[in-house]
Amino acid sequence: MKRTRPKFLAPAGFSRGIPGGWRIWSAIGTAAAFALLTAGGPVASQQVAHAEDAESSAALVEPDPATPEGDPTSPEYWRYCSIDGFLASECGGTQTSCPPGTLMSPITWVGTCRNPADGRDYIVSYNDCCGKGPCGQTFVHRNEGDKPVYYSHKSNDIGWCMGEANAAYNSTVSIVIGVADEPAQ
Amino acid sequence: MSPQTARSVRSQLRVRLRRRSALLALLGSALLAPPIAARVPIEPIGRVAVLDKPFDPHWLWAADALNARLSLVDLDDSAFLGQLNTGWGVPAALFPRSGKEIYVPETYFSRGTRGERTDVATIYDAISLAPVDEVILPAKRGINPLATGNAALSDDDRFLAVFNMTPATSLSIVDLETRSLADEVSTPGCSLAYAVGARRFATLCADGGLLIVELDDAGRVSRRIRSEPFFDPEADPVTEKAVRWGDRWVFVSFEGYAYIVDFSGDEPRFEPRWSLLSDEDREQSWRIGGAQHLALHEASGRLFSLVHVGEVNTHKDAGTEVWVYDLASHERVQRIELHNPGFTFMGYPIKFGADWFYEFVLDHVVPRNGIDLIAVTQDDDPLLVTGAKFTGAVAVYDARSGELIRRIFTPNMSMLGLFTQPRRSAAH
Repeated sequence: MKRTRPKFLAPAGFSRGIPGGWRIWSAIGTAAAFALLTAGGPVASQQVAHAEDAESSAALVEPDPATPEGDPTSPEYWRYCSIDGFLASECGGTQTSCPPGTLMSPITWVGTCRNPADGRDYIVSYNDCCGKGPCGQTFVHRNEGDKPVYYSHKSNDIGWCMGEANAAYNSTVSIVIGVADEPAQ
Repeated sequence: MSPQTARSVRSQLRVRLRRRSALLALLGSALLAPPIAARVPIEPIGRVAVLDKPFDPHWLWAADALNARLSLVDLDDSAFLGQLNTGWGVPAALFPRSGKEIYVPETYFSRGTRGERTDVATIYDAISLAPVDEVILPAKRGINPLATGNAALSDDDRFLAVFNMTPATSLSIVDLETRSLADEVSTPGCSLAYAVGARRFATLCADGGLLIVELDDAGRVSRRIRSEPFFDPEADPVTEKAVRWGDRWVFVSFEGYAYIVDFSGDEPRFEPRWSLLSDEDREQSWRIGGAQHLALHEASGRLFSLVHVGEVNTHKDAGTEVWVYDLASHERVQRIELHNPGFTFMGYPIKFGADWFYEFVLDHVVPRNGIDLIAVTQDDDPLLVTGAKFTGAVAVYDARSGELIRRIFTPNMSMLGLFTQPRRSAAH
């Protein structure tokens, strides 16, 4: 996957309030992400995500939140380099937790994003939040490294509200699950 | 004249005037009133309109994912003719040769956004637009924003293939004659569905090759053909938004190379790739892109490609021009600069002022966010239709001259697929 500085590619005028439209979904489940998030089912997945918040925040150096790359509400936030959907952080959740009342899809796809704070590339898991209708808040569509649907492990067009979380799509989280040049945790 | 006599005379005069006025009013109303025979007749309750024909080359089905429907509009007179309501996902319509029905794969949840999931192939009557039958599918069809490629109809109209992803990939095969699920065909490593013959479907594989499945009379797999890779999916993948040209399919890669695959023989034949972009185009950073970036006019062999100026990773960005190619010579024969199709809000058109003023504002004042989708009608007077994801408006051009003819406001709140009548059913 090409590792470039995140760049917001969608028209700025359409970044907020787009009607549920069609999120241009996210892609594949890697073994690492699947193993990490499926244990105990969807509810457990959310708990894992919250637990990860605390752990990763201690280890991860985030960019200055006053900058677009450090602001989780900004489309240019560094973790969103390959996201395609409504930001969970703008829909009642955070960048790592789904909005209240939804289920986090255990199957997902991952992207590789460069953190400008430390210059390292991280593996980011883009899990879908499911069970409520499209959020309709900030929609971010970035295609760095994106491939077509038949190349599913690198396609951000696939809807992952399937399997255990078989329901409607609501929004998407961006969870750091490892450093790109190290084995995924 | 005594005062009493004078009052009596005035009183008689008033009476006469009143009578004359009443007479004139009666005469006037008699002249102005419609004849009794033309009175509005008593009308029955419960009548429902039907279309006067199942298809027209200049009709457009426009997919609205937000309202979960397909809207039918007439490109010639802008009339909104009807709709199909289609469940979750980007709806796509499939039109059989007979012209009598329309097939739509749909997904529903028992509690709206949650609950038991039901996937179904719904069969609509093409005249009444009413659902007339359905076949329950395995509840795992692929949900993605692609307007085409998620389902295909065999050339003999007998079988419908619906793409599944769990993420294991397969095809649900629907027998449209018996109205039943015939089979589920596993397609490991391969996705989507393209009709490539009477009983054959092709799928695109992650290694850059094809998997072709042939069906028997019962809809079971009788043969599988795996091809060698014909493109590099890592370095320069073809998009899923291929267009059909008779027995051939035209795929275009992110970097603007055309890969034409001929399915007329037993095995697929891959024609040498050729570039849609010249060296000069590439220097100027022209790229293909969009949600539905290709269209094809079969009779003339003209390929329409949506393009924009952009960097790498802009393969889904909206386009600003349509470039037209002669598929026989591989030459670009036309450039069509695109106009803003117009805006709608919640399905209502945002239109103001005189036409010339409105056109001026759209073309020169408001931001041009570009075009995401294109389609071409298959008749001898082809129309090019362009749309953008977040408006219900579409622009209609003369596909030969490139001249903008009109803008049409559909009631859609989103626009994620444009479907015109396929050429193969035009004769029916």
